[in-house]
Amino acid sequence: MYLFIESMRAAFISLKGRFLRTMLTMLSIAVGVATIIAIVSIMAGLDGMVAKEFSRMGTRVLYISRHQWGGEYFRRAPRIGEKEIEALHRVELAEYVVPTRETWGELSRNEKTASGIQIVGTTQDYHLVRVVPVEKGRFFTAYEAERGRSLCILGAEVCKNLFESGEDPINRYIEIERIPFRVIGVIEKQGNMIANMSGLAPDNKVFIPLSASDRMFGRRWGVEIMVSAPSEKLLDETEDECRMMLRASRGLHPGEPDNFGINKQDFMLNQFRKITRVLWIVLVGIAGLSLLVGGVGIMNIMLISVTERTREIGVRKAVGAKRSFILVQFLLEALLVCWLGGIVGAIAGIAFAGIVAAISPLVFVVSGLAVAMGFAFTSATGIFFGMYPAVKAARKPPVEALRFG
Amino acid sequence: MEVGMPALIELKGVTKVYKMGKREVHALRGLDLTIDHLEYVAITGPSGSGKSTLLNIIGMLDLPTDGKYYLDGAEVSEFGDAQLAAMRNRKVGFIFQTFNLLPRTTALGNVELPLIYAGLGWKERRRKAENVLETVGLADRMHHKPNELSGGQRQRVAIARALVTEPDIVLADEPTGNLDSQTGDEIMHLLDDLSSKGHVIILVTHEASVAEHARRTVHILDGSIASDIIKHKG
Repeated sequence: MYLFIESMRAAFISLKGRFLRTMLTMLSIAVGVATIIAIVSIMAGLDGMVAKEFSRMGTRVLYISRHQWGGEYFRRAPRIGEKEIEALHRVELAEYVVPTRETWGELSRNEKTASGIQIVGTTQDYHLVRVVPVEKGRFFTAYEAERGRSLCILGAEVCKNLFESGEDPINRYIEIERIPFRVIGVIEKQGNMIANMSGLAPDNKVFIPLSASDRMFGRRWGVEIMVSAPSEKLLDETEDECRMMLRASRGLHPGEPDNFGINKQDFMLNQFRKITRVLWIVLVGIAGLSLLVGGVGIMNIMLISVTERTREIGVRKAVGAKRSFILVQFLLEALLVCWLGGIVGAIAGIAFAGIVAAISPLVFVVSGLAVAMGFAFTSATGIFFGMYPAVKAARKPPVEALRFG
Repeated sequence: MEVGMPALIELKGVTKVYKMGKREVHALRGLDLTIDHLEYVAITGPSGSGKSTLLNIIGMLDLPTDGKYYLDGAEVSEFGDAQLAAMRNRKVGFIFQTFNLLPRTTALGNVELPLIYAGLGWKERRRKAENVLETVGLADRMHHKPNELSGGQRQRVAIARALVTEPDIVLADEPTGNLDSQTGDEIMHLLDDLSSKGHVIILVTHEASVAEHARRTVHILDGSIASDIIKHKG
């Protein structure tokens, strides 16, 4: 232990004596570490953001449709409709059963138009399953939904497109596909750009009663049905019950495959993670490469240092230093440079990730994993690239070392 | 010498061959030499005669190509690296012509160095190093770095470093070679003192005036002993 402290001290003194050189070498390591930590943190932030966006779909919601996500589209199967809604209403674990039909169309008011808007036909319970906080006005009632009244609730972006900022949209009329609808509510602004593009946030949507949608677009399009479980824990059980009910209602025999899909948001998330995993490996690989370059720098500097200090090595051996002492001394010197670079790099990397998070929708995550990885990589670099010069120093025969220079 | 007691230093048929590229240089050719406690030996000879090689082998900085070297009865060629390091640390103290101090370290730090490798704690190291530096007359220069000291002072630091582990043997390779004659004399008196205090002193020199200080002069020519003269007191 005392020897470790002494070696540490000797390393410090030696590094202090070569200040500029040490700083430059350290910088190369710092860049590598900063890159690793920044990349891992930003990737973690991206993952956090995406997980948050997908959670808008509800972590305890089942999506029953003709399509099994990532799997089959049941072309020949009957469309999802009244019969299925009825069947699902009999599922005991189901809290809410909310049919939706999503179509795209144009909205207009006076001279203003908004096209490519998602028109969601649904029932009164939609806002209890999906995150759609009503900012002004209200959602429609069960009665209104059933009667198919021409009422609508606007997403924040849609509202902005059709109304001036000072105008109160409540009880004003707009046209959806040339049919007049009365605005009864506006949903609070939710998502960011990415969420809106992917249709996860309600900002670019307009909600109308399902029966109004039936009337306008026809029932043959079928619907998708959201079923919410009482809790995330009971999601799988709820799924099983839904499957049972749907199979029974469709008269499927045991052994016959499902001809409908039951989907969950975690499929989307996992899909995303599968894609980003590759990206992650590639990016960390690149960062590792920059650390490798730094390591070569360390090796270079240490080799020069060993040559320059041949005499010192000779003196130390002459007064009783074992090979292992010399080895530890030089190895520690390399490690110290790496750790110093690691600390500087970690601070820079975290700061960079913080800045990125501040100016983008990414979530700011100081990944403990990133810091641990950075530390592990730098230590490995120090040991790997410091070993050869240190061994070279330790192996110098004392006479030759003393005769040097 | 008492019967059964091994000599302190015993070289038997020691040969040293260096390879310089393809050429082989015979630095020592089958040399026998015995040195015992309380001796004060000067090894002389022209440059290239092998006298420094002999000193390095005695100091375990170098190992013989052939022949046997017994130190206190133990065969040095059988030692591993750790044992060699320990013996260099405790048995011998080396003084060099060019001092060989660590440039970035104070006099005190340089003297403490062998004690670090001996495994002593901080306080004891400090105490011992200070004591030795006082005995060589550098009490007021302990915290100076080598480049702030004169040649004579540097060699005193080196002597202090050689003595700090209280070794039996002090080896000096041209200890006055880089000093003016007056400073050289002072250093030689210091060595004389050490001899009278019971250290074995072995020094390599090509100056007759330096060799004068020793009680025994071994003259080397072409890697062999040409003469071995023991001066009788008085």
